[in-house]
Amino acid sequence: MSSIEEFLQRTRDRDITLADTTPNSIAMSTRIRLARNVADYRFPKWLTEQEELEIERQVRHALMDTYQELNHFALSDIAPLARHVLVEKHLISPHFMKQKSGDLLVSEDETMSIMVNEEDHLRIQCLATGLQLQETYERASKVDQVLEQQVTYAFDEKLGYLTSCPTNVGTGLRASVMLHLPALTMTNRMNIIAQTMLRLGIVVRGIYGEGSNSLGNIYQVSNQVTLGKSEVTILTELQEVVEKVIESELQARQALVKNSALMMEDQVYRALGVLTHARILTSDEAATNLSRLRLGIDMKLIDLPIKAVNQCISCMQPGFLQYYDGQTLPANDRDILRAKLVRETLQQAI
Amino acid sequence: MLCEHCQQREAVITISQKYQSGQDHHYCEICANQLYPFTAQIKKEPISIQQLLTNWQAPKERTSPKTCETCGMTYAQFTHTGRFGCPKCYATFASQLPKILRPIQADLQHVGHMPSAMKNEYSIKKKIEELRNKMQTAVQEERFEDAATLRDEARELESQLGGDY
Repeated sequence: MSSIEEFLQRTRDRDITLADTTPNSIAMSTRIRLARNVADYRFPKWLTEQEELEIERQVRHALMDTYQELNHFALSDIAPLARHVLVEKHLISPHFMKQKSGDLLVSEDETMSIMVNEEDHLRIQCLATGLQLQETYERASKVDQVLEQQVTYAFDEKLGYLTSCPTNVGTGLRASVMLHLPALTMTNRMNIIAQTMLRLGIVVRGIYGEGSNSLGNIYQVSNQVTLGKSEVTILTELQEVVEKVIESELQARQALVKNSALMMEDQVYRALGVLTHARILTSDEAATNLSRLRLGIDMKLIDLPIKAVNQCISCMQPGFLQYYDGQTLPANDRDILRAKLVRETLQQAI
Repeated sequence: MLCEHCQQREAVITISQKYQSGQDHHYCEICANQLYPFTAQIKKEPISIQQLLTNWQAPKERTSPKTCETCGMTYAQFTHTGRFGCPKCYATFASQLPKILRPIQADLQHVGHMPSAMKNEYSIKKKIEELRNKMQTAVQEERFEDAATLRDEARELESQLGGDY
């Protein structure tokens, strides 16, 4: 067992959502989340401290044998900045970050995390690089099956798994894929696509989920419906929609190259110029330029290792910046530090 | 006594209100039918064997109380936060669920995965439902002996489930 500080040092360069992806990989990562609750307890928000501990103990006990390698951290032991990094790594939700208590179980390779006493007693989450809905679901489902051997879930045969919020009732499944869609954004087609997807029961959000903005043309696409459709249907429908969006993005990229190749190349190299020379970089500016660079690499307009871009995307985030600098920084100082880190990372790669 | 609504015809029906005023109201048959359409079957014959059996079909649904007995959440609190207090809230506010779920969900019936412990119970319940349907058909076809056999089979299965099913 190690502390959260040791864990974050060990996993500093690890971000499953930004692993070395193959060129043209528009689908950056896949996330599966299952919401579950323990029968005969009120939902977390209304639990007593004693009841919270009981549930946390039950969950740890149920997972102990099968998942021995899980790191366990009590939320109360995690400092605000470290929580911020965990959100940026998609290991906890922004909602969990703000809570006073709760438990976090996370695998060493960061492909699996379980939040205990978030909005629901259990939020089982599995992450993977690229588009891997089925495989990732199976991993989450395995955790679910291990848990149900020892924990009695709040389940109703008509309504399925009962959750605190009725938007999760039924399967409790939220499947999401993170997509990098610069060409669709540049051609102003994201709004129309988002509206069309909504009619198909698919929601488009910013990179940290509910209520977050899109940063660097990265979007999170996920299923809205959890009741009345089976897991298989939900995953198949999302897969189909995601594939269509990827196809549209590729078409939009081709059209951009065809109609304005020089302008595209100009944008990519301007981005490289800013990122390798700027002394002050806001997260918006960094994200926008890193997105252009990523697009340039995908389209073979520039020869740069994608790994360097991914490293920049990871280290430019405010939580990450401050945590590894060891202090809370005012926004101005963050922008200076961000510019320095991005500059160094890219100059090494060139 | 005259009907308190039309003040013309003789009051023959008493409506007792349990939840609001707690008062009794006295109406004539016509006004009662208009005001409380759910009591429209008042003129039927005394209960027949058919009704007795069909009424047995399913336990009567209780009307939705305003507060969850388990966690104390009120419906007003739910509408304010959008979150239920405990799993039992779903049963407490069952009558409101269609209104909540229809706009956001595909259907009101779960069709996905279920815990393995539930699968067995679920298959028994399915079987009971099937028996009840068959029983209803038997009653309609006036095969009362068959209906009684089916009822016994269903009861047998129910005892396996235990509890208050």
